[in-house]
Amino acid sequence: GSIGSLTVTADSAKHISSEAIVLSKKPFTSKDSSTYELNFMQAKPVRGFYKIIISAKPSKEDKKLLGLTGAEVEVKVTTQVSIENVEIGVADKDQTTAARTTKVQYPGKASTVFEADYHQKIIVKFQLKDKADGTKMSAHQTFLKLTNQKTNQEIIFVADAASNKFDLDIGSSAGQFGHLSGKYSMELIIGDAVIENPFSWALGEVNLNFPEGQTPKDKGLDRYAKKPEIKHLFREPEKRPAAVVSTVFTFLVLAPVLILVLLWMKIGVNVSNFPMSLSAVGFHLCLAAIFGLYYLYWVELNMFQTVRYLGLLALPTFIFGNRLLSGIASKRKGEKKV
Amino acid sequence: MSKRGDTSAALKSAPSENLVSVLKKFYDEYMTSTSKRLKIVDAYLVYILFTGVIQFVYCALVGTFPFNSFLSGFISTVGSFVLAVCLRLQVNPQNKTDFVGISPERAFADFIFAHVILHLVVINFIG
Repeated sequence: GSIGSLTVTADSAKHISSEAIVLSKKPFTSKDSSTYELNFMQAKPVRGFYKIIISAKPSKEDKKLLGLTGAEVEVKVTTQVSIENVEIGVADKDQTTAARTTKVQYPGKASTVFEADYHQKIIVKFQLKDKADGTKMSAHQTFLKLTNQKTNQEIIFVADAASNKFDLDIGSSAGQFGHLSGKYSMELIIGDAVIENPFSWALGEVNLNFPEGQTPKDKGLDRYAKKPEIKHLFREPEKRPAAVVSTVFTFLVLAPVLILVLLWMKIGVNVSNFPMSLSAVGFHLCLAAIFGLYYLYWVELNMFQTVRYLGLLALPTFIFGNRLLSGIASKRKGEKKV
Repeated sequence: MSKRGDTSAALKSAPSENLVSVLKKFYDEYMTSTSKRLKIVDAYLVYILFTGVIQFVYCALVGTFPFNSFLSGFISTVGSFVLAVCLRLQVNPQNKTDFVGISPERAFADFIFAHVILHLVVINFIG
Protein backbone atom coordinates (compact mmCIF):
# COMPACT_ATOMS: atom_id res chain seq x y z
CA GLY A 1 0.00 0.00 0.00
CA SER A 2 1.14 3.59 -0.05
CA ILE A 3 3.23 5.07 2.66
CA GLY A 4 0.84 7.84 3.51
CA SER A 5 1.87 11.40 4.13
CA LEU A 6 5.38 12.10 5.37
CA THR A 7 6.99 15.07 7.02
CA VAL A 8 10.15 15.76 5.04
CA THR A 9 12.74 18.09 6.51
CA ALA A 10 16.07 19.39 5.24
CA ASP A 11 18.22 18.90 8.29
CA SER A 12 21.14 20.91 6.96
CA ALA A 13 22.58 22.31 3.78
CA LYS A 14 26.34 22.71 3.76
CA HIS A 15 28.48 24.54 1.23
CA ILE A 16 31.12 22.00 0.28
CA SER A 17 34.21 24.18 -0.12
CA SER A 18 33.58 26.71 2.65
CA GLU A 19 31.79 24.29 5.02
CA ALA A 20 29.24 27.01 5.82
CA ILE A 21 25.81 25.83 6.91
CA VAL A 22 23.11 27.62 4.96
CA LEU A 23 19.95 25.95 6.21
CA SER A 24 18.85 24.16 9.32
CA LYS A 25 15.73 22.11 9.90
CA LYS A 26 13.66 23.59 7.07
CA PRO A 27 10.53 21.61 6.20
CA PHE A 28 9.55 20.63 2.66
CA THR A 29 6.07 21.50 1.42
CA SER A 30 4.01 18.64 0.08
CA LYS A 31 2.87 19.06 -3.52
CA ASP A 32 1.05 15.78 -3.77
CA SER A 33 1.22 12.39 -2.11
CA SER A 34 4.74 11.62 -3.39
CA THR A 35 6.36 14.98 -4.22
CA TYR A 36 7.84 17.35 -1.67
CA GLU A 37 9.33 20.73 -2.49
CA LEU A 38 11.90 22.99 -0.91
CA ASN A 39 12.70 26.45 -2.14
CA PHE A 40 16.47 26.39 -1.71
CA MET A 41 17.16 29.70 -3.41
CA GLN A 42 15.09 31.47 -0.78
CA ALA A 43 18.08 31.24 1.53
CA LYS A 44 20.11 33.14 -1.07
CA PRO A 45 22.98 30.62 -1.14
CA VAL A 46 26.36 31.67 -2.45
CA ARG A 47 27.47 30.02 -5.72
CA GLY A 48 29.07 26.60 -5.41
CA PHE A 49 28.26 23.01 -4.58
CA TYR A 50 26.04 22.12 -1.62
CA LYS A 51 25.23 18.94 0.22
CA ILE A 52 21.68 18.81 1.60
CA ILE A 53 20.86 16.18 4.22
CA ILE A 54 17.21 15.18 4.21
CA SER A 55 15.14 13.14 6.67
CA ALA A 56 11.55 11.95 6.42
CA LYS A 57 9.13 10.97 9.15
CA PRO A 58 5.96 9.02 8.39
CA SER A 59 2.72 9.98 10.05
CA LYS A 60 2.32 6.41 11.20
CA GLU A 61 5.35 4.64 12.66
CA ASP A 62 6.36 1.83 10.34
CA LYS A 63 9.31 -0.35 11.20
CA LYS A 64 9.62 -1.60 7.61
CA LEU A 65 10.65 1.78 6.18
CA LEU A 66 14.42 2.26 5.79
CA GLY A 67 16.63 5.18 4.85
CA LEU A 68 14.51 7.73 6.61
CA THR A 69 17.37 9.86 7.84
CA GLY A 70 20.65 11.10 6.51
CA ALA A 71 19.83 11.02 2.80
CA GLU A 72 22.34 13.22 0.97
CA VAL A 73 21.61 15.24 -2.14
CA GLU A 74 24.18 17.34 -4.00
CA VAL A 75 23.03 20.62 -5.42
CA LYS A 76 24.91 23.07 -7.62
CA VAL A 77 24.17 26.76 -7.34
CA THR A 78 25.28 28.64 -10.42
CA THR A 79 25.65 32.31 -10.96
CA GLN A 80 26.31 34.82 -13.66
CA VAL A 81 29.73 36.39 -13.92
CA SER A 82 30.62 39.90 -14.94
CA ILE A 83 34.08 41.02 -15.90
CA GLU A 84 35.41 44.46 -14.98
CA ASN A 85 38.53 46.53 -14.85
CA VAL A 86 40.08 44.92 -17.89
CA GLU A 87 43.44 46.45 -18.75
CA ILE A 88 45.69 45.51 -21.63
CA GLY A 89 49.22 46.78 -21.88
CA VAL A 90 52.57 46.18 -23.49
CA ALA A 91 55.67 46.36 -21.29
CA ASP A 92 59.35 45.61 -21.49
CA LYS A 93 60.44 42.20 -20.33
CA ASP A 94 61.91 43.28 -17.02
CA GLN A 95 59.07 45.59 -15.95
CA THR A 96 56.24 44.27 -13.81
CA THR A 97 53.51 46.70 -14.88
CA ALA A 98 52.88 48.38 -18.18
CA ALA A 99 53.56 52.06 -18.57
CA ARG A 100 50.43 52.64 -20.60
CA THR A 101 47.41 50.40 -20.40
CA THR A 102 44.22 50.42 -22.39
CA LYS A 103 40.98 49.84 -20.56
CA VAL A 104 38.41 47.78 -22.41
CA GLN A 105 34.78 47.39 -21.48
CA TYR A 106 32.93 44.12 -22.11
CA PRO A 107 31.77 43.43 -24.83
CA GLY A 108 33.69 46.11 -26.65
CA LYS A 109 37.02 45.89 -28.38
CA ALA A 110 40.21 47.84 -27.99
CA SER A 111 40.30 50.59 -30.58
CA THR A 112 44.05 50.64 -31.19
CA VAL A 113 46.13 47.76 -32.46
CA PHE A 114 48.85 46.89 -29.98
CA GLU A 115 52.45 46.45 -31.07
CA ALA A 116 54.73 44.00 -29.30
CA ASP A 117 58.28 42.97 -29.97
CA TYR A 118 60.17 39.87 -28.94
CA HIS A 119 61.81 41.66 -26.03
CA GLN A 120 58.49 42.88 -24.68
CA LYS A 121 55.57 41.26 -22.96
CA ILE A 122 51.81 41.65 -23.08
CA ILE A 123 49.96 42.11 -19.77
CA VAL A 124 46.20 41.59 -19.49
CA LYS A 125 44.52 42.21 -16.14
CA PHE A 126 40.89 41.65 -15.27
CA GLN A 127 38.46 41.13 -12.39
CA LEU A 128 35.59 38.72 -12.19
CA LYS A 129 32.52 39.56 -10.17
CA ASP A 130 29.57 37.47 -9.12
CA LYS A 131 26.51 39.24 -10.51
CA ALA A 132 24.23 37.92 -7.76
CA ASP A 133 26.02 39.37 -4.75
CA GLY A 134 28.82 41.51 -6.22
CA THR A 135 31.63 39.55 -4.59
CA LYS A 136 34.88 38.94 -6.37
CA MET A 137 35.15 35.46 -7.77
CA SER A 138 37.63 33.30 -9.63
CA ALA A 139 37.00 30.95 -12.51
CA HIS A 140 38.65 27.65 -13.38
CA GLN A 141 38.99 28.46 -17.03
CA THR A 142 40.66 31.76 -17.80
CA PHE A 143 42.40 31.63 -21.16
CA LEU A 144 43.85 34.15 -23.56
CA LYS A 145 43.70 32.95 -27.14
CA LEU A 146 45.80 34.58 -29.85
CA THR A 147 44.84 33.75 -33.42
CA ASN A 148 47.14 34.47 -36.32
CA GLN A 149 44.90 36.31 -38.73
CA LYS A 150 46.62 34.90 -41.80
CA THR A 151 47.22 31.25 -40.91
CA ASN A 152 44.42 30.87 -38.32
CA GLN A 153 46.89 29.28 -35.95
CA GLU A 154 45.62 29.48 -32.35
CA ILE A 155 47.92 29.83 -29.38
CA ILE A 156 46.30 29.61 -25.96
CA PHE A 157 47.72 30.87 -22.67
CA VAL A 158 46.42 30.34 -19.15
CA ALA A 159 46.04 33.20 -16.66
CA ASP A 160 47.46 33.23 -13.18
CA ALA A 161 44.42 32.12 -11.16
CA ALA A 162 45.23 34.03 -8.00
CA SER A 163 45.80 37.43 -9.52
CA ASN A 164 43.71 37.08 -12.70
CA LYS A 165 46.54 38.38 -14.78
CA PHE A 166 48.16 37.25 -18.01
CA ASP A 167 51.88 37.76 -18.38
CA LEU A 168 52.88 36.92 -21.93
CA ASP A 169 56.60 36.94 -22.61
CA ILE A 170 56.78 37.26 -26.38
CA GLY A 171 60.42 36.27 -26.68
CA SER A 172 60.24 33.04 -24.72
CA SER A 173 56.98 31.93 -26.30
CA ALA A 174 58.23 32.62 -29.81
CA GLY A 175 58.44 28.91 -30.48
CA GLN A 176 54.74 28.47 -29.85
CA PHE A 177 53.97 31.16 -32.42
CA GLY A 178 56.20 29.40 -34.91
CA HIS A 179 58.16 32.64 -35.18
CA LEU A 180 55.44 34.00 -37.45
CA SER A 181 55.28 37.77 -37.21
CA GLY A 182 52.02 39.44 -38.02
CA LYS A 183 48.65 40.51 -36.75
CA TYR A 184 47.06 38.36 -34.10
CA SER A 185 43.57 38.79 -32.63
CA MET A 186 43.22 38.35 -28.86
CA GLU A 187 40.29 36.62 -27.19
CA LEU A 188 39.62 36.20 -23.48
CA ILE A 189 37.83 32.95 -22.58
CA ILE A 190 36.18 32.63 -19.14
CA GLY A 191 34.36 29.54 -17.90
CA ASP A 192 33.64 27.51 -14.75
CA ALA A 193 31.33 24.82 -13.44
CA VAL A 194 29.18 27.35 -11.56
CA ILE A 195 29.21 30.08 -14.20
CA GLU A 196 25.98 30.26 -16.15
CA ASN A 197 27.26 32.63 -18.80
CA PRO A 198 30.74 31.63 -19.93
CA PHE A 199 32.07 33.78 -22.76
CA SER A 200 34.80 34.21 -25.32
CA TRP A 201 35.45 37.92 -25.76
CA ALA A 202 37.46 39.47 -28.57
CA LEU A 203 39.62 42.01 -26.77
CA GLY A 204 41.54 43.49 -29.62
CA GLU A 205 44.42 42.95 -31.99
CA VAL A 206 48.16 42.85 -31.53
CA ASN A 207 51.00 42.99 -34.03
CA LEU A 208 53.78 40.64 -33.00
CA ASN A 209 57.32 41.02 -34.30
CA PHE A 210 59.69 38.14 -34.14
CA PRO A 211 63.36 38.27 -35.14
CA GLU A 212 63.92 37.50 -38.80
CA GLY A 213 65.77 34.48 -40.00
CA GLN A 214 63.84 31.93 -38.04
CA THR A 215 62.12 29.72 -40.53
CA PRO A 216 58.62 28.96 -39.35
CA LYS A 217 57.99 25.33 -38.83
CA ASP A 218 54.92 24.39 -40.77
CA LYS A 219 54.81 20.96 -39.26
CA GLY A 220 52.19 20.79 -36.58
CA LEU A 221 50.20 23.71 -37.96
CA ASP A 222 47.67 21.37 -39.44
CA ARG A 223 47.23 18.87 -36.72
CA TYR A 224 44.31 17.08 -38.25
CA ALA A 225 45.57 16.62 -41.75
CA LYS A 226 46.74 13.26 -42.97
CA LYS A 227 50.04 12.27 -41.45
CA PRO A 228 52.87 10.92 -43.61
CA GLU A 229 52.55 7.22 -44.19
CA ILE A 230 54.67 5.04 -41.95
CA LYS A 231 56.43 2.37 -43.88
CA HIS A 232 56.79 -0.63 -41.62
CA LEU A 233 59.85 -2.70 -42.20
CA PHE A 234 59.32 -6.22 -41.02
CA ARG A 235 62.26 -7.64 -39.22
CA GLU A 236 64.66 -8.92 -41.83
CA PRO A 237 64.82 -12.69 -41.54
CA GLU A 238 68.23 -13.89 -40.52
CA LYS A 239 70.56 -14.95 -43.24
CA ARG A 240 70.32 -18.65 -43.78
CA PRO A 241 73.12 -20.67 -45.29
CA ALA A 242 72.74 -21.95 -48.81
CA ALA A 243 70.60 -25.03 -49.07
CA VAL A 244 73.55 -26.93 -50.46
CA VAL A 245 75.62 -26.34 -47.36
CA SER A 246 72.80 -27.46 -45.08
CA THR A 247 72.16 -30.61 -47.07
CA VAL A 248 75.83 -31.52 -47.18
CA PHE A 249 76.09 -31.13 -43.46
CA THR A 250 72.95 -33.13 -42.86
CA PHE A 251 74.59 -36.07 -44.57
CA LEU A 252 77.87 -35.40 -42.84
CA VAL A 253 76.14 -35.53 -39.48
CA LEU A 254 74.45 -38.80 -40.31
CA ALA A 255 77.68 -40.27 -41.70
CA PRO A 256 79.11 -41.36 -38.33
CA VAL A 257 76.30 -43.89 -38.09
CA LEU A 258 78.00 -45.77 -40.89
CA ILE A 259 81.26 -45.56 -38.99
CA LEU A 260 79.45 -47.01 -35.96
CA VAL A 261 78.02 -49.90 -37.94
CA LEU A 262 81.44 -50.61 -39.43
CA LEU A 263 83.14 -50.55 -36.06
CA TRP A 264 80.52 -52.75 -34.54
CA MET A 265 80.83 -55.24 -37.33
CA LYS A 266 84.58 -55.21 -36.92
CA ILE A 267 84.32 -55.80 -33.20
CA GLY A 268 81.84 -58.51 -33.84
CA VAL A 269 78.51 -57.61 -32.39
CA ASN A 270 76.65 -60.66 -31.25
CA VAL A 271 73.50 -60.23 -33.27
CA SER A 272 72.86 -63.96 -33.35
CA ASN A 273 72.41 -64.01 -29.61
CA PHE A 274 69.18 -62.04 -29.89
CA PRO A 275 66.60 -64.01 -27.88
CA MET A 276 63.44 -64.39 -29.89
CA SER A 277 61.23 -64.13 -26.86
CA LEU A 278 58.15 -61.97 -26.55
CA SER A 279 59.86 -59.70 -24.07
CA ALA A 280 62.78 -58.99 -26.33
CA VAL A 281 60.75 -58.29 -29.41
CA GLY A 282 58.20 -56.39 -27.38
CA PHE A 283 60.84 -54.26 -25.71
CA HIS A 284 62.51 -53.28 -28.94
CA LEU A 285 59.17 -52.57 -30.59
CA CYS A 286 58.07 -50.39 -27.70
CA LEU A 287 61.33 -48.50 -27.72
CA ALA A 288 60.97 -47.92 -31.45
CA ALA A 289 57.41 -46.77 -30.83
CA ILE A 290 58.63 -44.24 -28.27
CA PHE A 291 61.07 -42.74 -30.72
CA GLY A 292 58.36 -42.78 -33.39
CA LEU A 293 56.20 -40.85 -30.95
CA TYR A 294 59.00 -38.33 -30.58
CA TYR A 295 59.11 -37.88 -34.33
CA LEU A 296 55.35 -37.25 -34.30
CA TYR A 297 55.87 -34.81 -31.46
CA TRP A 298 58.38 -32.91 -33.55
CA VAL A 299 56.07 -32.86 -36.54
CA GLU A 300 52.68 -32.13 -35.05
CA LEU A 301 51.80 -33.15 -31.50
CA ASN A 302 52.09 -30.91 -28.46
CA MET A 303 53.70 -31.67 -25.12
CA PHE A 304 50.52 -32.72 -23.33
CA GLN A 305 49.52 -35.28 -25.91
CA THR A 306 53.07 -36.56 -26.13
CA VAL A 307 53.42 -37.03 -22.40
CA ARG A 308 50.09 -38.84 -22.30
CA TYR A 309 51.10 -41.25 -25.05
CA LEU A 310 54.52 -41.59 -23.50
CA GLY A 311 52.92 -42.61 -20.24
CA LEU A 312 50.85 -45.18 -22.08
CA LEU A 313 53.88 -46.58 -23.89
CA ALA A 314 56.11 -46.46 -20.84
CA LEU A 315 54.24 -49.22 -19.09
CA PRO A 316 54.71 -52.02 -21.65
CA THR A 317 58.23 -50.82 -22.36
CA PHE A 318 59.11 -51.13 -18.74
CA ILE A 319 57.48 -54.51 -18.33
CA PHE A 320 59.11 -55.97 -21.43
CA GLY A 321 62.45 -54.40 -20.67
CA ASN A 322 62.39 -55.66 -17.11
CA ARG A 323 61.62 -59.19 -18.16
CA LEU A 324 64.15 -59.14 -20.96
CA LEU A 325 66.96 -57.86 -18.81
CA SER A 326 66.23 -60.14 -15.90
CA GLY A 327 66.21 -63.01 -18.37
CA ILE A 328 69.64 -61.96 -19.60
CA ALA A 329 70.87 -61.52 -16.07
CA SER A 330 69.76 -64.96 -14.96
CA LYS A 331 71.28 -66.45 -18.07
CA ARG A 332 74.53 -64.71 -17.34
CA LYS A 333 74.50 -65.81 -13.73
CA GLY A 334 73.75 -69.33 -14.87
CA GLU A 335 76.76 -69.20 -17.23
CA LYS A 336 79.02 -67.82 -14.54
CA LYS A 337 78.14 -70.57 -12.18
CA VAL A 338 78.94 -73.11 -14.81
CA MET B 1 94.22 -53.03 -11.87
CA SER B 2 97.04 -55.24 -13.06
CA LYS B 3 96.54 -54.33 -16.68
CA ARG B 4 96.43 -50.66 -15.93
CA GLY B 5 99.56 -51.01 -13.85
CA ASP B 6 101.38 -52.60 -16.78
CA THR B 7 100.54 -49.74 -19.09
CA SER B 8 101.71 -47.08 -16.67
CA ALA B 9 104.93 -49.02 -15.95
CA ALA B 10 105.60 -49.23 -19.68
CA LEU B 11 105.16 -45.50 -20.01
CA LYS B 12 107.46 -44.78 -17.09
CA SER B 13 110.27 -46.99 -18.26
CA ALA B 14 110.66 -45.43 -21.74
CA PRO B 15 110.23 -41.66 -21.60
CA SER B 16 112.48 -41.07 -24.62
CA GLU B 17 110.19 -43.00 -26.97
CA ASN B 18 108.28 -40.73 -29.21
CA LEU B 19 104.55 -40.10 -29.08
CA VAL B 20 103.67 -42.41 -31.96
CA SER B 21 105.07 -45.52 -30.35
CA VAL B 22 103.37 -44.66 -27.06
CA LEU B 23 100.09 -44.33 -28.80
CA LYS B 24 100.64 -47.58 -30.67
CA LYS B 25 101.40 -49.39 -27.46
CA PHE B 26 98.26 -47.93 -25.87
CA TYR B 27 96.20 -49.04 -28.82
CA ASP B 28 97.56 -52.61 -28.73
CA GLU B 29 97.00 -52.80 -25.02
CA TYR B 30 93.46 -51.55 -25.50
CA MET B 31 92.63 -54.03 -28.23
CA THR B 32 93.81 -57.00 -26.28
CA SER B 33 92.62 -56.23 -22.82
CA THR B 34 89.20 -54.66 -23.12
CA SER B 35 86.25 -57.00 -23.34
CA LYS B 36 84.05 -57.04 -26.40
CA ARG B 37 81.20 -55.42 -24.55
CA LEU B 38 83.28 -52.42 -23.63
CA LYS B 39 84.59 -52.14 -27.17
CA ILE B 40 81.03 -51.96 -28.45
CA VAL B 41 80.30 -49.14 -26.05
CA ASP B 42 83.53 -47.41 -27.03
CA ALA B 43 82.61 -47.60 -30.68
CA TYR B 44 79.30 -45.98 -29.79
CA LEU B 45 81.17 -43.26 -27.92
CA VAL B 46 83.32 -42.54 -30.93
CA TYR B 47 80.25 -42.27 -33.12
CA ILE B 48 78.59 -39.83 -30.73
CA LEU B 49 81.77 -37.80 -30.55
CA PHE B 50 82.01 -37.47 -34.31
CA THR B 51 78.39 -36.45 -34.59
CA GLY B 52 78.86 -33.76 -31.96
CA VAL B 53 82.02 -32.43 -33.55
CA ILE B 54 80.42 -32.19 -36.97
CA GLN B 55 77.43 -30.33 -35.51
CA PHE B 56 79.74 -27.90 -33.82
CA VAL B 57 81.76 -27.34 -36.98
CA TYR B 58 78.55 -26.61 -38.90
CA CYS B 59 77.46 -24.10 -36.32
CA ALA B 60 80.86 -22.42 -36.32
CA LEU B 61 80.71 -22.27 -40.12
CA VAL B 62 77.22 -20.89 -40.77
CA GLY B 63 76.38 -19.11 -37.55
CA THR B 64 73.89 -19.87 -34.84
CA PHE B 65 70.70 -18.95 -36.60
CA PRO B 66 68.24 -21.45 -35.23
CA PHE B 67 70.14 -21.37 -32.00
CA ASN B 68 67.66 -23.60 -30.24
CA SER B 69 68.09 -26.28 -32.87
CA PHE B 70 71.85 -26.16 -32.60
CA LEU B 71 71.65 -26.30 -28.83
CA SER B 72 69.24 -29.19 -28.80
CA GLY B 73 71.33 -31.21 -31.25
CA PHE B 74 74.54 -30.48 -29.46
CA ILE B 75 73.10 -31.23 -26.05
CA SER B 76 71.70 -34.45 -27.43
CA THR B 77 75.18 -35.56 -28.41
CA VAL B 78 76.75 -34.38 -25.19
CA GLY B 79 74.03 -36.04 -23.11
CA SER B 80 74.28 -39.27 -25.00
CA PHE B 81 78.03 -39.23 -24.60
CA VAL B 82 77.75 -38.73 -20.86
CA LEU B 83 75.16 -41.47 -20.49
CA ALA B 84 77.25 -43.89 -22.53
CA VAL B 85 80.28 -43.13 -20.38
CA CYS B 86 78.20 -43.84 -17.29
CA LEU B 87 77.06 -47.11 -18.82
CA ARG B 88 80.64 -48.05 -19.63
CA LEU B 89 81.74 -47.28 -16.10
CA GLN B 90 78.97 -49.27 -14.54
CA VAL B 91 79.34 -52.23 -16.86
CA ASN B 92 83.11 -52.51 -16.54
CA PRO B 93 83.74 -55.55 -14.28
CA GLN B 94 86.93 -53.86 -13.04
CA ASN B 95 84.80 -51.21 -11.34
CA LYS B 96 82.50 -53.65 -9.65
CA THR B 97 83.52 -52.54 -6.18
CA ASP B 98 82.43 -48.96 -6.88
CA PHE B 99 78.94 -49.88 -7.99
CA VAL B 100 77.73 -52.43 -5.50
CA GLY B 101 74.28 -53.73 -6.25
CA ILE B 102 74.05 -52.37 -9.77
CA SER B 103 74.12 -55.21 -12.26
CA PRO B 104 75.01 -54.47 -15.90
CA GLU B 105 71.40 -55.05 -16.76
CA ARG B 106 70.31 -52.43 -14.25
CA ALA B 107 72.91 -50.05 -15.71
CA PHE B 108 71.55 -50.65 -19.18
CA ALA B 109 67.98 -50.09 -18.01
CA ASP B 110 69.03 -46.78 -16.43
CA PHE B 111 70.77 -45.90 -19.66
CA ILE B 112 67.62 -46.51 -21.71
CA PHE B 113 65.43 -44.63 -19.25
CA ALA B 114 67.67 -41.61 -19.18
CA HIS B 115 67.85 -41.61 -22.97
CA VAL B 116 64.07 -41.63 -23.27
CA ILE B 117 63.83 -38.54 -21.12
CA LEU B 118 66.80 -36.84 -22.81
CA HIS B 119 65.27 -37.31 -26.21
CA LEU B 120 61.90 -36.00 -25.07
CA VAL B 121 63.60 -32.80 -23.96
CA VAL B 122 65.72 -32.61 -27.10
CA ILE B 123 62.73 -33.01 -29.39
CA ASN B 124 60.86 -30.39 -27.39
CA PHE B 125 63.70 -27.95 -27.79
CA ILE B 126 64.53 -28.60 -31.40
CA GLY B 127 61.58 -26.51 -32.50
